[in-house]
Amino acid sequence: MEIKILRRVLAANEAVAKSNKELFSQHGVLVLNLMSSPGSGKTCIIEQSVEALKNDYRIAVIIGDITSTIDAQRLSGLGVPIIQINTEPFGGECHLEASWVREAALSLNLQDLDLIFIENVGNLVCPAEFDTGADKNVVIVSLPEGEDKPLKYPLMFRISSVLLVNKIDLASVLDVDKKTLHRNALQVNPNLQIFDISAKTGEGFDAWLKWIEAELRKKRQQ
Amino acid sequence: MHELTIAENIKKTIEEVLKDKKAVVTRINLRVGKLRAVVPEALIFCFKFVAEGSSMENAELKIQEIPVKGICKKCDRDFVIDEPLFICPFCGSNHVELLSGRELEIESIEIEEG
Repeated sequence: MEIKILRRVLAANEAVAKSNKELFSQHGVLVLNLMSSPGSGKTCIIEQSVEALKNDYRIAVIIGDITSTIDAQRLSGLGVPIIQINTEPFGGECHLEASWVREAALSLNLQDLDLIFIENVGNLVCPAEFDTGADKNVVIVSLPEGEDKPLKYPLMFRISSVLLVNKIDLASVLDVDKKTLHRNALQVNPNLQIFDISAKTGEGFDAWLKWIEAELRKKRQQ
Repeated sequence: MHELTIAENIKKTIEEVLKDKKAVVTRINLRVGKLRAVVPEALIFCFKFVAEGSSMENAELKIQEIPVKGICKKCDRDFVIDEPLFICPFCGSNHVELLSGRELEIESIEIEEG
């Protein structure tokens, strides 16, 4: 006997993500979900962004990692709340699920926050599948990774609003064409906002920070 | 390995549907969009693992892959996208909206009631 079901497999995650969105809206907090492959500079970008914005805004960071608290320890010097989610106790997952983000968010005083950075697990496949409920997805590609990442991981670039091209200070020693990377990314998603940055030298950070501040204003007006 | 989470969610969803019904699940029909980057072999492997000891441990996981289809917002024509270039093959516009390719759903299950 055949039984028609027609149910989305990740419906549970999608439902929690939706309620996370409502939770963030209620408290007027802007949530940015940063995703990239390992080693593209997520932690460093968050470090520099928090450093630049923390005097004007109340910020917290939620960090996902399969194991280890290395990133959380590194960020603890920033003087803002850091919540570490280790995915290992949940089965060593390679992405953050909406329910874990919710748990982490609820442990923060949301009414006292303007901005939350989520550092997702380093991976360009799975985090794209699991909506966290963040307001905006930000994908990071570092220049040494080459030009073709958008073509290899289209869903990730499709669901993101911003592409940060990091490590542009290395451009002169690399055989990577930034313009081709931009073109590939825009082919996958013409609505992507692209910022070329170096978290090391601070180059290009102004435009990225201005974008965050504009989003913070939009969130406040809602 | 998002296949493991997906496998667990498939099992959970079917358990919810069957509730206390005594039945052996013989087949699970899935629709998976190509954009989902699900590896069928990995999903079948993970499902065997999570279904062990349950009423669906011998179920066949039938995965129907759904092509990525887009519609051009400029010329209004639709087409299949074979490579990750979201560009209209007719007019070259990049204002392409997706019609399919992100599915991840259980269409139906086949059971033998015991």
